[in-house]
Amino acid sequence: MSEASTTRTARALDLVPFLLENQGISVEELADEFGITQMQILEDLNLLFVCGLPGYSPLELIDMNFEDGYVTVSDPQVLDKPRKLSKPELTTLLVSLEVMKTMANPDVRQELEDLQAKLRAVLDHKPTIDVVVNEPTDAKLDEILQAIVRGCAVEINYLSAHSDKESWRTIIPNRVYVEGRHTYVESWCITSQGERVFRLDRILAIRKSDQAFSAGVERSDHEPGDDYLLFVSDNARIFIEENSAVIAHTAKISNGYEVLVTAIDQDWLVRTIAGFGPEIAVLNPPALKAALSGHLTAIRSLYQ
Amino acid sequence: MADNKTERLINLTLALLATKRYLKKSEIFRTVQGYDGTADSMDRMFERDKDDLRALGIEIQVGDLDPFFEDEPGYRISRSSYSLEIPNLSPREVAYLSVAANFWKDSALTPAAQSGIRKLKSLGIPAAMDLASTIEYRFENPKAALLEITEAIDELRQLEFEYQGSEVTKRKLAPYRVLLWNGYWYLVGLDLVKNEIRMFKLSRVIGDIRAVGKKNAFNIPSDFDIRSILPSTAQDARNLAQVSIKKGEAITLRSNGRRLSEGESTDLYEFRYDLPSSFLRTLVWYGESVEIIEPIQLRNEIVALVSGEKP
Repeated sequence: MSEASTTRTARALDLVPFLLENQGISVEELADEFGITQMQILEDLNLLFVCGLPGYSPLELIDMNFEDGYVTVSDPQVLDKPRKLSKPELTTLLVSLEVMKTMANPDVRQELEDLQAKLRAVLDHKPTIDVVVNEPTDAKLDEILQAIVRGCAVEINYLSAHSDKESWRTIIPNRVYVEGRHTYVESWCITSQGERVFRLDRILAIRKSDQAFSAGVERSDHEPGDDYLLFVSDNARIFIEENSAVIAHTAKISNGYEVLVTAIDQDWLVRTIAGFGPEIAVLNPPALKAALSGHLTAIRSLYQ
Repeated sequence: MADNKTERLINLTLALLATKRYLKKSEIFRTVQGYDGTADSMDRMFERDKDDLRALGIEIQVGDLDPFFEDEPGYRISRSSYSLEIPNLSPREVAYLSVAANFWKDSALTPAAQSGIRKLKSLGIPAAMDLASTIEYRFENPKAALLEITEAIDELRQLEFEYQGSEVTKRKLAPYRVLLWNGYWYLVGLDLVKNEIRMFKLSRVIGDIRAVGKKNAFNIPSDFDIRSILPSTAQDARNLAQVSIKKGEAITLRSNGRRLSEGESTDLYEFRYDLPSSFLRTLVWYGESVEIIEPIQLRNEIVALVSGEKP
């Protein structure tokens, strides 16, 4: 089944101005850039080769060369400028900038806002997508990002999510990602000699480390954790939505879900599911069931 | 066949872009390659081609050639309406846009992000290279219908869909905004059955979201602010609770409350909260480190919760 001629027309019209700015690009790269096969690109180029202005003499045709696998355009005729952005394109780029703004420092945020204003002004666009993140931007983020760029270690005072205790650790941050309402720092933790993920809002303080970056550290994979099987009722669906990172598998059963949780600290899991009361039940293993009931009994005894 | 049609659409675009004056239909049929057959079939061809180009966002201007002698309209595409021009776009800004376009890996927004950035790269402004993005954003994959929803908002058309709440219900909505909130997608608008502003999680929409009825079917209040309908943050939540916390424990929790007094083995804190169920979940997380002192009602609720009763 051949693709719609409108799709092809749009692509062909966009190809020519792109080629003008990327003279000598290989057919392979071009196919990659446009997300289609090399065969399709060649068909598009062959088609453009015979298009042009009325008269259609050699002087009026789009003139290009691509015989050796590299593409150059010598006469684009009137296709020297890209088409204006479509609404979906503009909407998508604006929402991406909006996402970037949530984590940007004030200077960059201003730059991004100016850029958005520029795009909106030219294309007369009403906003249709909002982006809201509850966690405010954090000055500590800049320090972490700088450490990543320089590849150096920092010391952090970290409040553990599992034990609610704080401690100083030396880490080499690798990567920062935003997921849900939180920002995480993926690092090599020199203190515990393993890969660890730290939540930015739990980093209480950062200071420069004297420890030199030792490039030769062995990076072990994550310890394989235990598997936990839970029953999660329809009313507790939010548990599944908020913890998708540790959920390996979900199966719909009547009035709820069977959920397989992996690679997570048991104590954390107990504390998290305890608050859902009977809406979440442990199916397996028995040790988790026992830990959960211990946690609940401890709370109950406070109030007796 | 498809090749012929594509070729004709490209040639028509080029001819209409190149002309300074309006071209008559008869001129187009005579000079643009690809039009043949009877007058009627060429007419139909041309009507379809115009519709196709307009669907691609290409504006075809229609004008009178000569108001004194002819009533046949002419056609052209103006360069300024066709091409993308953004004054003073800097290399740094192009770099920001390239980073932004790469967020949408394998999602409903990928094609639009990629084609958009290709057009910007075709403007001939080099991207600043020193801008390396080290932050990765992970969010729920947007639903395929996302851009159709934004189009409905833009055109002020109503939407219909089925929604999984505690049960599945049919909803009719005047859509105001799509919202990406803490990594999840929502649709916000005026529920036309309940006549209230409502938020819907897009992942809980079952099946298609359909735009129904005419354009401009409603107005979005000009002072509409998405933040006014989001559940309030801790600072302005309505409910108050007093909680005693054991010394040196629940450090994270402490930072969200206000310390009222210090005791020998425990400290007393005050917290603001909105939803009792979510506040209780937080407290249960800290186990025996925390005890609710007031209100009595909330004490009873936590006891019921940890005793296995339905909340």
